[in-house]
Amino acid sequence: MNVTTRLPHPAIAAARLAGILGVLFLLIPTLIVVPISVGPDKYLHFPPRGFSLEWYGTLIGDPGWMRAALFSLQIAVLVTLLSTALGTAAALALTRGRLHGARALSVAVLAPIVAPNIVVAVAMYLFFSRLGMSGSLVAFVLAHTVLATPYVVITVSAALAAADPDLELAAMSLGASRSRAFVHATLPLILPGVIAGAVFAFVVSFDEAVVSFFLSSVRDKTLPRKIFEELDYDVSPVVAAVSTVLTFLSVGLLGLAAVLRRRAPRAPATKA
Amino acid sequence: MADVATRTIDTAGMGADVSIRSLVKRYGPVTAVEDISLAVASGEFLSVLGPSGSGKTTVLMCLAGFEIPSAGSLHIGGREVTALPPNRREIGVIFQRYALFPHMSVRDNVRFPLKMRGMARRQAEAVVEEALATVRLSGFGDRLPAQLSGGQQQRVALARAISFRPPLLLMDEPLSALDKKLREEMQAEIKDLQRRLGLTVIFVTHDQEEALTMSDRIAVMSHGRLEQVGTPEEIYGNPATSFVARFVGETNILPGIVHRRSGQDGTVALDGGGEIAVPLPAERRLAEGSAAEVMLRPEHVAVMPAGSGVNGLAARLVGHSFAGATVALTFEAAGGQRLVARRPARELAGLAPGAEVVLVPEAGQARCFARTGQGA
Ligand SMILES: Nc1ncnc2c1ncn2[C@@H]1O[C@H](COP(=O)(O)OP(=O)(O)OP(=O)(O)O)[C@@H](O)[C@H]1O
Ligand SMILES: [Mg+2]
Repeated sequence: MNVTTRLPHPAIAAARLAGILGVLFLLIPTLIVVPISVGPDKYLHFPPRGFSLEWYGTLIGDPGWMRAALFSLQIAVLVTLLSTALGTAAALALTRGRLHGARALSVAVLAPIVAPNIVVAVAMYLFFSRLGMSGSLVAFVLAHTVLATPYVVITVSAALAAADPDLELAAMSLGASRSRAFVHATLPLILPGVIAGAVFAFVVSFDEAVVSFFLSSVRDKTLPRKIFEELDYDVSPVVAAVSTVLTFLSVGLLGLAAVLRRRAPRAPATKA
Repeated sequence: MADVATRTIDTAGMGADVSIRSLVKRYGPVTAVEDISLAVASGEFLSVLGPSGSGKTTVLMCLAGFEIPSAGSLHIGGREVTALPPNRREIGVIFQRYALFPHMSVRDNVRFPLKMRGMARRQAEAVVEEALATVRLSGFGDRLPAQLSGGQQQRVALARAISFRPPLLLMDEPLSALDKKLREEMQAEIKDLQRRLGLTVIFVTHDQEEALTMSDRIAVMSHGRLEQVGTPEEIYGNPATSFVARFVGETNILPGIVHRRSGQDGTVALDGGGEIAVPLPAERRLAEGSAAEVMLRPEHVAVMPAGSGVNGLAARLVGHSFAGATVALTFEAAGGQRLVARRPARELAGLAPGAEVVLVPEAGQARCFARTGQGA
């Protein structure tokens, strides 16, 4: 199937080169913060004139940054748990249930991916400020769960589509209750998809900037929001250091998710 | 269920009788099964045969407990199971696509039902080995399902389904994914297993040859209803409806009008010309003058040279196809009516396309049905 692994046709080779250049172009702004963060200068400077981990030290020693990081982490962990549970349940209902209006439900569940973030953010802000909950942990967790759940629904639905529904019926006929049939026959097959979804949910929450911008209070702010503020009055390389950490964490986690999704056990081919 | 292992696999006569009473299953506006009643004896091999969409799988799903009947009741081994969840029915189910757990070894697949019943590991090991030996797969325990051929996978599914000693085995087109030769091997193997274990088996298939060779009795379904239940000989030799006659085996269909009936016999005047004698049992309510269809199996058509003086249908040979021991001869009779005769291959000698012959139906073998809207 994979034609590109065979003899590279000139057109294919050209397309490949264009692709690589395109990706590099997209990556350069992100990658440029890495050398900046290890430069000794007090201001953002590229290329760096030397090497120093000073800004990483400053970052760790700064209670303001640490507080924001912990707050973000706390939110992300709660969001991961909540959206993984909700998203998996929704994916099961959508792909395996006999629901009336399954289509409408799936549109509703996936809508936050399509809707402009700023619209979601304003809506969340109006909603939570009216309740007097703006800036609270609960508000962040709920808002991010809305944004993260669709990713779980997508990865788990894909995993479920590859798992034969007969397996659960077989398990039941062999003496497993409904819940045990799910745990023994289906869950092991979709687990990589569930974990991948959880990783996505974590990254979505941890990196989320727009909604957080609106919901943050003076006291409680997330890491991305703190970066915004710092950029406003003091463009120090600490920001580059934070960005570098965030980037590597996200890339690492998403890489993990990709590996997990590829390692899902496959049903044996039904040979004729 | 500690007694599971104490019974040995070669105990015969453990099959449960099954009784399906006025079963109805609707999916919204679709009626998949419409008022089916059927009794299956202990140790019987019953095939459910019918075209696609006739409701075979639905009947099986209701028996297995995966679907709840809209009306009617189901009884297995004298116990009503209509509303019992599948895991409490003690039925082995074999799926078309095997449904082996892909993340478990063959051994763990076969052990699964024992684990669900809380059997101790040591004891379960022995039962698993025995079940694998029964399907001739000893030594395959450590493999994953993906490392087995289709036939081997279906044998693992069999081992898994019998390891917990269910008295009833349900199979939904279990062999349709296998090639012809392997399918025939597996047919023999399943029959052998069923006899040895004395299991009751309900076997869904749309392959009439498979049903004819394997079954004690066949239930023919069409449009959610039972058309006929009977032994393979009855189904093939004495179809109750024209649907059964068409669906099971090859047949010639000759439209006509009932010309004369007296007692159990009668004649039908064929639309294309000519007349044919048919048995007309009392339950065939076919008055003289009513539209009828005569069904004649190809092997019941004798071929005589034209002008030999016998009574029959004048016809002309238009083609033949050779099938080893026999040859199928296609004729055209008056009015363009096509007829196929299946004869021993040697009878082809001396017959060339265009040859004029007389076709003689074997006495008492033609079947007559009322002509309905369906089909021809
Ligand atoms: N879950 C369902 N929802 C709606 N209709 C269904 C459902 N399952 C089956 N049907 C309908 O019920 C009828 C009988 O289906 P069933 O699967 O029992 O047929 P079958 O005889 O097993 O056919 P096949 O040989 O193709 O497997 C069909 O018309 C089918 O479309
Ligand atoms: Mg079916």
